[in-house]
Amino acid sequence: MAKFQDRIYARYDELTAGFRKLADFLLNNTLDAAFLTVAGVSRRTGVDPATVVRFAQEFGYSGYRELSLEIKDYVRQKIKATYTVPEGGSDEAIMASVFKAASFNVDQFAATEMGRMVQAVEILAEAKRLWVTGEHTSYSLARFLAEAFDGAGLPSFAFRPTMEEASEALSKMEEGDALIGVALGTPSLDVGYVVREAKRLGVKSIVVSESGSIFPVREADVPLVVPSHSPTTLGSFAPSLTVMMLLWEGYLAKKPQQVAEKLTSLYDHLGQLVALRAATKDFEL
Amino acid sequence: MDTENNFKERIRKEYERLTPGFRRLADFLTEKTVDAAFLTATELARHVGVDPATVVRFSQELGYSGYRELSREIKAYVRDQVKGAYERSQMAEGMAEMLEALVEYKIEQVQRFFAASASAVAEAVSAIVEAKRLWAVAEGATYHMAAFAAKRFGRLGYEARCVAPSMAGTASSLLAMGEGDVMLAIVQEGPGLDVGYALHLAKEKGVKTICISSRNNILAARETDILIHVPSDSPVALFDFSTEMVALSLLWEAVGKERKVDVASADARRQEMLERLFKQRLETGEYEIASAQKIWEERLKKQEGEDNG
Repeated sequence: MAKFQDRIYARYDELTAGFRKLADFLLNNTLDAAFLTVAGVSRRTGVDPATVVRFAQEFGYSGYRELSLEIKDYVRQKIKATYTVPEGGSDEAIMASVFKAASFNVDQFAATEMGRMVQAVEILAEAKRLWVTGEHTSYSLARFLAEAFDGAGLPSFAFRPTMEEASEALSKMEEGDALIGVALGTPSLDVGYVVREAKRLGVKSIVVSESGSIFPVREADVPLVVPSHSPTTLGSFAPSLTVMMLLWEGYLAKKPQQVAEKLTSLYDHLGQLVALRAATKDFEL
Repeated sequence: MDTENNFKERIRKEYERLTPGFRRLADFLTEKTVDAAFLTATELARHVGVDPATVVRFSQELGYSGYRELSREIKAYVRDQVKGAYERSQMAEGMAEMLEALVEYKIEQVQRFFAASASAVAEAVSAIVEAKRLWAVAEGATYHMAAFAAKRFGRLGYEARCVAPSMAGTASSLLAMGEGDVMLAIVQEGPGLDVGYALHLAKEKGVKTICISSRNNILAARETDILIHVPSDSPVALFDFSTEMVALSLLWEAVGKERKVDVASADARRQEMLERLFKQRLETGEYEIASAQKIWEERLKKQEGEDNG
């Protein structure tokens, strides 16, 4: 987990337009940034070199050199993914490159974000209840996650972050609850509002996104920014889905006793349902 | 009448710019048009709580010479509406008669339902009032009615969930169910077997069960603690579901009345959250969209670059 990201998140709202350009660049193109000099960053972002230096100083570094060292350190284990679809490749070759990119994304995430994953699982393990939100297609993922955690014994509720549903969910949230925001592919402002309000209520939040700079990510207690490079499309959601399921697995690993009890009861109930079905008489139809 | 420029249209266009006093007048005229047609400027002013001069200024603001002209237009509008309703009934005599007969039938059906099921409804209300948590269950299209019920009871401060009674759905919901909970089942068409199994197993866990059903001989109806039997016969369709909705709404309203303290505090809290969310929207900077957009633009550019070279 990198200090520069936290420092930027903390002050993002107050930044001038030029500083914000730099912040967005460092958050979303961290890999590129690691290989650029002041002049390079300046060229890529269109702000002048002196501003790059002032930016670094504004965030408590002696200059860009020190900030750059931190960025380099952060991406030391990352190698930029440069997979491309093989020219005229077979279906098999294309799928192979997709799989390779997906697992590379997950590897990249694991290399630098393990600390945050641990924090996220910790929050879930200590939570009394879980609230999960996401807009549009992310809402379906939110529902899936809520049912998965519910099944593992953590009372969970999914809601859409529209004003009506969000205000109702927030009115029921309590200190000690946890919130997961799923923010894939959209700016997810409504998710951001919920995260900010939840924080005020003492609810710890985890946000999964492929963007390092969007509002909910900056507001989250634990942002999980998942690389989403894809050789075939604009972006891949596969790594984000993997990370979400890993949160669930991490939770299961922390609560083996609880999960074992739940699973035993679940299979008891399934058995009872089979028995009821078998005992159903023809006249019922 | 000139629908492009009638008073409702003029109000709609000007509404955002109106002062609070003018807006109160605008609301009254658009929502209670029939009442307004029979009021003088002074009476209208009294009804709305503004002074009569404001009524005149309001009329002028909308482009009328005074309230007299506006009032004439309101009267003409109401007259046309009444006439229109009359003409519609004349034109489609068969349809109008059929709908009228249907409405009468419905009213009689709801009365019949209440005469037969008042005590079951009362018992169900008491059970829900005492409930710790609420589980709504239904299959098929009725599932959405159960989901609606769960949301509605959520508004009354309950932890209310909706269950689709597939094997895994029922089994995993049962994990969290316990004594003090209430299960509310709705069965419309179909044999409702899966709902029946869910009720059976929920009861075994000490859950109090209520079933709203049009048939009292199906498994779900036999398994439930409290059966609210609703008539579903229709003179025109295969079956009717309006009484089921009435029953659900009755339960909700009665429970809401019994729990008015909880409801008031839940409402106040939700209102506070609504206001906070609204405030956040107002304070959102435009850059919030731009930063997300940039990611996609960069990827598009990269993609285009790869496609071209």
